[in-house]
Amino acid sequence: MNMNIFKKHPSIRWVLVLLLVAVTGAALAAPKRLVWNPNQLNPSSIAPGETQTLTATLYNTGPGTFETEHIAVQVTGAIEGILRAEKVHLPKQLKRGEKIQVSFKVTIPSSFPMSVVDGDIVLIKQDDNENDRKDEKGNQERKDMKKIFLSNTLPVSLTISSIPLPPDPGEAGKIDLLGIDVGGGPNNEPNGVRDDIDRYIVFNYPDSEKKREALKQEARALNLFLRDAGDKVKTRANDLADGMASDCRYFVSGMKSEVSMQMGSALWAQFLNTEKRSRMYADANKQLGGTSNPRGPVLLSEREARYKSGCLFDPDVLPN
Amino acid sequence: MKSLCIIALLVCSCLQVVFADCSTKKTMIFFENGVNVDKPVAADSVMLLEEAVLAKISSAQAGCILTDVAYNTNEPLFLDLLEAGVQKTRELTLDMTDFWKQYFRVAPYIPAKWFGDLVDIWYTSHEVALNGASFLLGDQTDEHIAKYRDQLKQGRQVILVPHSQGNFYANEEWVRLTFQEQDQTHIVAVATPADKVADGGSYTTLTEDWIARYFFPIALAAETTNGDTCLDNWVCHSFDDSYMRGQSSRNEIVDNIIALLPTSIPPPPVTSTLSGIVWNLNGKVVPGAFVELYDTATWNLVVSTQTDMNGYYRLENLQSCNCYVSAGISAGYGDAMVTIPTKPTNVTQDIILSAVPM
Repeated sequence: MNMNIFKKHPSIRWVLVLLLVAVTGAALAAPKRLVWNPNQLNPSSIAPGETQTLTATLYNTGPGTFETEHIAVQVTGAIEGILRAEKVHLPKQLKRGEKIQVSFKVTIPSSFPMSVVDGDIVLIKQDDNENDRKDEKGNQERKDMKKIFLSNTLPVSLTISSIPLPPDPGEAGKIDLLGIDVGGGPNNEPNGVRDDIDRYIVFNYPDSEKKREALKQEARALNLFLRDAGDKVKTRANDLADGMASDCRYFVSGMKSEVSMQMGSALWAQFLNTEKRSRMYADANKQLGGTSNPRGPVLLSEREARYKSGCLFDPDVLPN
Repeated sequence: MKSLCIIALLVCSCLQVVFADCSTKKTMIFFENGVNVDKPVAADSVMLLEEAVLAKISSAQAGCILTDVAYNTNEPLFLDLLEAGVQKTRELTLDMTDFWKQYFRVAPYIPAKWFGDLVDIWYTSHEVALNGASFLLGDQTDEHIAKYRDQLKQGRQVILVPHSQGNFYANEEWVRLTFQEQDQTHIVAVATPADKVADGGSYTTLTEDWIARYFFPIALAAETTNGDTCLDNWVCHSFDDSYMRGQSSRNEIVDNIIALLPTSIPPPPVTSTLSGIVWNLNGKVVPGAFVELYDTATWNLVVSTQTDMNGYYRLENLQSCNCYVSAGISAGYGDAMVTIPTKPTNVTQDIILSAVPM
């Protein structure tokens, strides 16, 4: 290259530097050729002591063929140690449009606490020489190895719970008025309770099945409240379901209103987590002006039986 | 002489039956809520009121008292607060759950300045409507009156316990009753913003209730105080968290209700109660512990029970004795000596178990 050009036009040097930076940045920011599907792993709950296999598919979105030598699955975050990739038998090349399935084994120690554990999975290429480097004593050195991220990041969220729970619906659960309900039943089947609320109830009342059942009953009643908020006749009919639920909540709170009110208000605050739900709740209340207790008056000497009868389940058969 | 005594005893027993049989004269208590109270909260307030009343009456009296709610929505006012909350949560990039946690005062409740400001602005902007008593929804009062009349027709007396704006409703409803109906309908006002109680009845307003004092200058003067039991100015107006939580106001409200109960309702029995909490060595309450009371004169078992889920036990209808109370569960045991006095007394005795139950 004729260096005189830089002398004649010094600004060209800076233009070239900027160009280099831009090209490098674009290369780093460019979409990865290998893409995970689904774009996140958020399975139903896994119980402590249980092992489960999760799968995801890697697509080569191109351009061109992908050489798979020296690639590895990297697991980071809190899931490291409980989730690991099954041995992956990769073809030497992955042509454009081709896919491979990758399995992950999740093993939860039996003493693992009820929790949500998050992390990321990404496909990396490692420098072999770096990997094999040993120190003077012959030990493997744990130096930062040169890694090239080959795929997009696959976020993983694992719910560890001995009580079956649906996946966290996240923001998707806030779109529709009645949310998402794919689990939460005894066998994790849909149970008429929003999944985010199922999770809230279990995480907040892990030790009391009675309280969990009472709050689920109330959540179902609140669903009806929101659904029919525009209809006075239906809302007033739904008031009965809500009245029974709050009676039941009071009963399972040991007939202590302070406990019951905190349980109820914490549930409602969680339940009314969007503007739409909040407005519909207010609309439903509007329909109830002038009403009284939908179950009729309470005789003080018969309170316990009365409040207990609000439960749509038998609290006596539940262990705690 | 002996036969005279037997006759007297029989008469007393019969009277007791008459007293206990209150089917012809029961009392219906209606709680009537104020603004910004949704239906489930109003229902919970009734339960709170029930507990407070039950703590001060006999079990026979409990058989003569019913409760219900006369619900007011005051919805345009509430919708305004909600919309202000929507705007504010957007502005602060909060979740609507944050608004409701403040609104419902979900534990652990830490008053947020933004919410307090929101309520202050809301009260200021609605001062005219609230203060002028212009905010009464006619169809609601119609429905309430119909319910009161239904109770009166059954021979019951009605006690209205209105809180805050509910007082405007209660006053209006009472005025619209016939003289005969008014005679059997009473008001026990709480935190009233009005300048009167329609039937000339009692009222309880806290001096620390800033809302009642500041926004309702015409209101009846505040004469009761709980000290500093409420959390902030706004909460001091709350029926649940201030008026029913504070001992002075709670006692006053309940005493005002009890004073209106028909005299045919028997007084509390001349027996005592023994209650308390069973703890383990870790300072945790012990649910399901067996509690037994023995008379040390005979060492006969007087009565037994089990602690509830909060470790609480209560033994009722106790006669005077020097007694021994024990509590036990598989891995723990504790006891205490207690004296049940001759005068009816609520004796309390906590018991600590000597070993920590699993």
